[in-house]
Amino acid sequence: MRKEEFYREALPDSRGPLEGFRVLEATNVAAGPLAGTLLADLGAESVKCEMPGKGDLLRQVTHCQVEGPSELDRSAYYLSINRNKKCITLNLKHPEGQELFRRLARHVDVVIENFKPGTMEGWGLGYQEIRKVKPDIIYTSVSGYGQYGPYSHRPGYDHIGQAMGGLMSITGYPDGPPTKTGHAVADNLGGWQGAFGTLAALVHRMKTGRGQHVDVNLVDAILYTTTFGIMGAANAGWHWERCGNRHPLASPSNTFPCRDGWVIMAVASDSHWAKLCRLMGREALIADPRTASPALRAANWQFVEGEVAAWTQGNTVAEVVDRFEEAGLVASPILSFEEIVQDPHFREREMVAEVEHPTAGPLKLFGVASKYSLTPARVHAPAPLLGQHNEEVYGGWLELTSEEMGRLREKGVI
Amino acid sequence: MKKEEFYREARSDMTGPLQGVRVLEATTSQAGPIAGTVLADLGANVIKIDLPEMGDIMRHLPPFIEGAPKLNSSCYHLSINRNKKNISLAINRPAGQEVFRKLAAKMDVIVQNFKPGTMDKWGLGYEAIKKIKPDIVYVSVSGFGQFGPNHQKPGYDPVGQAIGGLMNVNGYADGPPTRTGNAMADNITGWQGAIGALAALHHRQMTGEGQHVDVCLVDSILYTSDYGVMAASNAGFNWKRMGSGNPAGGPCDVYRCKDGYVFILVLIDSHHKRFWPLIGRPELYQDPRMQTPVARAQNLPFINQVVGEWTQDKTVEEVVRQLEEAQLVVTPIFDFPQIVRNEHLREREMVTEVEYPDVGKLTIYGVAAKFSRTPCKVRTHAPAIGQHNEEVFGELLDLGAEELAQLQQGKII
Repeated sequence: MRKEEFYREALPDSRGPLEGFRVLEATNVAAGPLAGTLLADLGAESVKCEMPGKGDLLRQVTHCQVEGPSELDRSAYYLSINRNKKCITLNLKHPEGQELFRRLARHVDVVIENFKPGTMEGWGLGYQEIRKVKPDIIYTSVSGYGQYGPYSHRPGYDHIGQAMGGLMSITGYPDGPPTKTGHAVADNLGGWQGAFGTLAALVHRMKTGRGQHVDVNLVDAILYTTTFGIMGAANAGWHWERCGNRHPLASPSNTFPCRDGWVIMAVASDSHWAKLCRLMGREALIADPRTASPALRAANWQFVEGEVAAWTQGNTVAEVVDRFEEAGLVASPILSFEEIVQDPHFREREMVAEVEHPTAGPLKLFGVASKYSLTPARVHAPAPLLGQHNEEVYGGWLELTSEEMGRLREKGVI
Repeated sequence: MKKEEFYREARSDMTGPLQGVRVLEATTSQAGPIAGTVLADLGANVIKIDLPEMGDIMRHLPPFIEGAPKLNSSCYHLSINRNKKNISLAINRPAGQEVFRKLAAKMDVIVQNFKPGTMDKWGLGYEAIKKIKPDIVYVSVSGFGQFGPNHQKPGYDPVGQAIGGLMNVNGYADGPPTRTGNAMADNITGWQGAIGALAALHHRQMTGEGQHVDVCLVDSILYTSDYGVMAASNAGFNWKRMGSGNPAGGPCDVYRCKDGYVFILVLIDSHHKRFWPLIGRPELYQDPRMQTPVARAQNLPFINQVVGEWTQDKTVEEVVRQLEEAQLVVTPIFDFPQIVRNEHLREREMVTEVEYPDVGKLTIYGVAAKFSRTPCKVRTHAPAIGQHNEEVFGELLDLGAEELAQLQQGKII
């Protein structure tokens, strides 16, 4: 299908399918903010509360920064994940700040928070308090281990989700340590769970008028990606061991070295194996007693993959991928982010998006993963400056005057 | 909070927040079925279609449950297709396509993950279904999407991880790019499909309009990559593989103990102040190599060596206990047998059980999002091929026993 065909009925001024939906975020770092990001990316209006003067912790991350005059608006991490949002400053530890938060909550459909369980309650901002001022609120809590359960009091970080949720134990090589993913997958998926927990609760609210408390966390989210891990261990006596990039049940299925990098391939059926043998000029291996069936190839994977590696080593990645494609086989290069930003497919799908930032200039960042034929969703605004939307939100929603805002600013409340 | 407190207003008469939403799945393998699983887990009424006799490819993959019926013993299938109904239907044949269109007219959502163009060729694409059900939410799950230069390429989980940027930053600096142990791309693309369906249902509720939702493996993986795109475009930052470490500093890595590994993270200043004396190196708290995040990032090999020397002659349990007592961030690394035994994951019903005829109880992963008013759970085991033929064809299409027998004979169902 061509892109124009997919979008032929698209509403030209749409922000996305969630347009008109309002979110208030009391979030920090990654997992909580990412729940808000997904909703904002799909068109919701998300207002993020940050600590006056300091802002979100990710604003202070210095190892990867863009150019710009303001130290708090240069972190690529913050700028990437908080696009499409509004930002107000609000000190939630201050009683006046808490009162403002409760007033703001009356104007929204959803509250998202990711403080340690019990913190928002301590501030008078927990689900039970907020529903007193907004009875049908959807209140989404994102945490490390959840709102209840023996570990719920513990702090949660990305790698804890990966370590406790089973992912690290199966990622990496048999002779190496358990391995964390390169980017913060648990934070991301904890956030995604928060977003669709919110949307599912919204469906229920539309039918019944009732809001509710939604509880998601990093460990549960990671475990929710492990498919048969639990049943394998509990019912099938199957011990899932780390096996690098190798497929435990099929061969050749692995990363292979080429002259200029790595290629990944998956060849399972006999007909595909025969095609690969012809490509490699090793027709004898088609009927070889070591490699003649999927089960034999899996059992003799070291031999099989040694033969394949001997062939790939003499080729470039592009040569292997092209020849596989001509033969109707599956192989793929392994792209770096430098290559991703040049890739025409990602450009056309707007997965490499560009947005104009007031101090940093044009910034490239990841686009919106789900595509909607009628209500396209896209990166329409850069991550906000600290307190950029104070006037709009405090003035517009709460009708505070500039004197009142000045007073609150002096007291460190906003 | 106690569990009872969280659920004090829970309704026991509902399957979840999506009760009443009807979903028809023309799916196979993982990414498509998992989109349906998320919706089924949240309470939707999901009907999955399998081809007669053969069924979904996952039914054929090990590991298998001993004593379970053939085609219904794969842990893959039994884990991911719970909470669904199953009908057999040959949607690759005209008579089956006719039945599919009749069913589609009764649905809110369709989820399909055939190669782009296949459903159109069968007369079951978005445009065809929209003619008989104008407000349908039609979710297509694929490797590279419904459009774009590579949309015709087949999609497999490792391809999604390789093209979406994840593999290149995963693994060790001196080793190859590494994929995650689970099929991460398949799983999270299914999640994107579910999110897409829900967001489109919201739009439909507001306006009455349905639409086509397009999600794919490579987009979904890229959507988890945090600052990768901006780092390469705007910050001149070359993101390299560094195992379990963190380019922002340390200690933040996996450390070897006598009997396994732990993960330790020391990030903020007050934690550094407690950590270095605790491991018997108080002088390092004032050491210039530790004073700033930049310095700590530059001296990671030294930091990791010192921490590794401290952990190597202790057990995992000792390291975890000592650091937890000091309120520092540490975690053991669970394998699945440990997960199955874990009290926290049991209480949260992330490790849960479902009745299964002939075998007894199957242990299975639960539902990740918890809802205080409309709790979700694993209600039913993954069905056999065609287990719900009579119920679905009878109730939705008014087909009688004779008509069903006829369709069965023709291998349409």
